[in-house]
Amino acid sequence: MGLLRLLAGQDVSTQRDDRELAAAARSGDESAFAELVRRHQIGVRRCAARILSDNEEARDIAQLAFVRAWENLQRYDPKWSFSTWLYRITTNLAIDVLRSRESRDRTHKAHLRIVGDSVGPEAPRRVAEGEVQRIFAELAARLSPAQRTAFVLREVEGRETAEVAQVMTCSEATVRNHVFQARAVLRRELAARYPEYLPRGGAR
Amino acid sequence: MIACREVRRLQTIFLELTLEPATEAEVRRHLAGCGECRGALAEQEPATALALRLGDFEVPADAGFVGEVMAGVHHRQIERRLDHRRRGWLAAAAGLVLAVLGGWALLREPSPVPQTAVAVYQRPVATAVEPAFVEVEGDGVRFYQLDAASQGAVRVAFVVDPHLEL
Repeated sequence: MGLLRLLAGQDVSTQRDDRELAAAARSGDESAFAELVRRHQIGVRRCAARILSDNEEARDIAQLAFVRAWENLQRYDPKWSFSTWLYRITTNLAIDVLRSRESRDRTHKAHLRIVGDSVGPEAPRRVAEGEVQRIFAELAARLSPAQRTAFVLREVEGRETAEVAQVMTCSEATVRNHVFQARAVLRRELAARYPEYLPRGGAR
Repeated sequence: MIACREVRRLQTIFLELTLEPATEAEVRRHLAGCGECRGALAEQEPATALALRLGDFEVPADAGFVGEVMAGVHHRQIERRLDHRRRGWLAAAAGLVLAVLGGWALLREPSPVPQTAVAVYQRPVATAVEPAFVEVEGDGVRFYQLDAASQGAVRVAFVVDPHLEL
């Protein structure tokens, strides 16, 4: 069937959704799994990078997450979204890394390039990309792994609370609680370390 | 596209994380492109404004990523296969060792000594027995033996009375 589609000039991979590809991969179809990696690699790497604040470490974790996913395809329940399952594996690995870090200082690794942009009271709109990442990396080091994961998935990635709850295997109320606590910590740290980045009114 | 006024009206509910997913997606889209609304949001919640700025940035393209993941998958498959084979060989080797040990145990002559350990308590015994002496005095007969443990200093005597009816 796949060969016929290929001969007919159809791209087999675009015809199949994630669940179909996962089912094929579970039967040993490596090309189906490679397509899943292609589809989700950006999101998984981005999510890991935001949780870990370290692009190189995030790349390793993302690779490990895909290999784990391949090894555990038999456990994947198609009633779940494949990406939710994949994000669960990724965030669990990232949380393990956060917990095993000997020092919080490691979160400020050299990849976070500081761009020397002048900043003013309306800084949130004008701060350079690298600077925003660096500030978040520094402030997020004060968050617990759960607060950090919930904040990244819910606030940065904009995922629905229900999906974040599935990824973190907790209730939606717990997700909201983690996010509110994370905001409070970040507000406090921002006011203490970077008051120049706050709007004129300052943090509440 | 949703208007600025509507976004400002929904801002508090947005921050309470209770907006309908579709509406929230619209608000997010608007905030991504509207600096003024993002500034207004930062007034109320700077942490969320920071998160929105982070959401703007994509990770760089990585052409080698998929290939490296698939190489990792192949590597794990080989490891698993080797592990499987190794387990087979280990099982075979363990079986062989057990068979050799079992055969050796069966062919070996039975031991006269029980294989189990037995704790034995032995009472101390005298190393030497002194000779007995018999003395006859009148009708009486005295039979005695020296105590070996006391180096002959103690005499244990048995007097036999000839008038005693046994």
